[in-house]
Amino acid sequence: MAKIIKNPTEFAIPIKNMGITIPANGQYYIEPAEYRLWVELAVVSEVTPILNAASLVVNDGIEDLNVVDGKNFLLYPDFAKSQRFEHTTFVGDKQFTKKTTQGAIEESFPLIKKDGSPVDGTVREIDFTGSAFSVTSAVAGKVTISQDVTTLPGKIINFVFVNVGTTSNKWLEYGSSSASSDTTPYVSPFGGSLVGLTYMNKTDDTNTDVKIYKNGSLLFTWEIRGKRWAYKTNISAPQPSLNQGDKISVFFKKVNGASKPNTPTIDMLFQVSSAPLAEGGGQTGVV
Amino acid sequence: MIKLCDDIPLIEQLIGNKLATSANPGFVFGRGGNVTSGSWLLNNDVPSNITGIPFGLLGGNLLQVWAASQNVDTYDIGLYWHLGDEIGLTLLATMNIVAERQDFFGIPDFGTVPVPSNVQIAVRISNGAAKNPKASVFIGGA
Repeated sequence: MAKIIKNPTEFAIPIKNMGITIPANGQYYIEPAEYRLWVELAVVSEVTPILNAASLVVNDGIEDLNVVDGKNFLLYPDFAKSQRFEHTTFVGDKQFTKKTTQGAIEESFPLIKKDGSPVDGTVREIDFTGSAFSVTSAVAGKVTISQDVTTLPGKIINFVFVNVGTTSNKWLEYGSSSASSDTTPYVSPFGGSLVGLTYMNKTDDTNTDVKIYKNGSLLFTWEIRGKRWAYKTNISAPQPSLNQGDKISVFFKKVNGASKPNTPTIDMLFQVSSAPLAEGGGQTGVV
Repeated sequence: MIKLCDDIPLIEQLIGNKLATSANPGFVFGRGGNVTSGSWLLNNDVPSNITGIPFGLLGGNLLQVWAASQNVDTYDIGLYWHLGDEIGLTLLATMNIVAERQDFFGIPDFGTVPVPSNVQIAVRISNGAAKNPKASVFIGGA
């Protein structure tokens, strides 16, 4: 890699702090011994506006660089993104497409989506177009993940209700709240529909009615008869729906004729239909 | 039998010339690479138009300029003084090197060139180009 400065203008351009003049329509080859002189503050201050105006163009010995890359290459050689190399050169068995050290690092760490589909991005910047998340990271290790709620509709979210021990005519707890869900229900941040349920407990051959309440009103009843575990996705239309801020509680109603559930779990699956950006809450009146 | 009275002046003269040559390299400027017109030679790593070599003697006069380059080059050397950062930049003399690897200039070439006291001396290639040029500048004073 060489460092060459071209002057595409019709006028000679002096760079006083380097003690040189670059002739009109000419160029200046920077001796390696002078590379470090170009990072002196006075030189940077003098050259930057000239490069910004494209009155001088930096060339790396292979091609002319754009303004930003040219400034980095010439004035900020310690930046990873500034260190250029002949990209057609093999490094081991790797031939990089990018022409900077940072670009090569990014190419060395490709990211792959869970479904194996190609990712049009790098370690530094990824745009998961159409998926739930956009991810941006940096070589330095900083990673930020931002959730794009506009892509949530259609996604399935789940929340779990549990109770420890024999459960008969009893409210289940939401998550691990250690409080019954009639007082500490699940609060939905999205709108959507109930599309699936699963049931599991520690005892064979159990009976119960799983009663799902929304804001204190019965939303749906699922009858469990003679089962240790069960699932349900054939929830009749119109499927029970949730709105943003709705509160969900689960009650196990006693049904005779079989064992009582012991330490049951209800996993509820909702399909998001709307995810408006909002914030809400209330002081009293849970269900 | 050695005649001391006859030999002593010769020895003094001989020693004096050698010491003058070896111990007074002058102010040396240089720059690496193919140095083209308009480029200032460096004072160590600093362009001499930014910081030149300080000259503080009184009654200064330019005595000699030696020029050298790697190739057989044709170029002009401009000798200047200034007060730092090109302030008061003033041309003292210009030397023309024509197809030479080294050249020598003295008072017969550039005449009497007074050099002010408390200034900085700078050198640049003012025409042509030279490969890895060097310039030594001798200025007398008191």
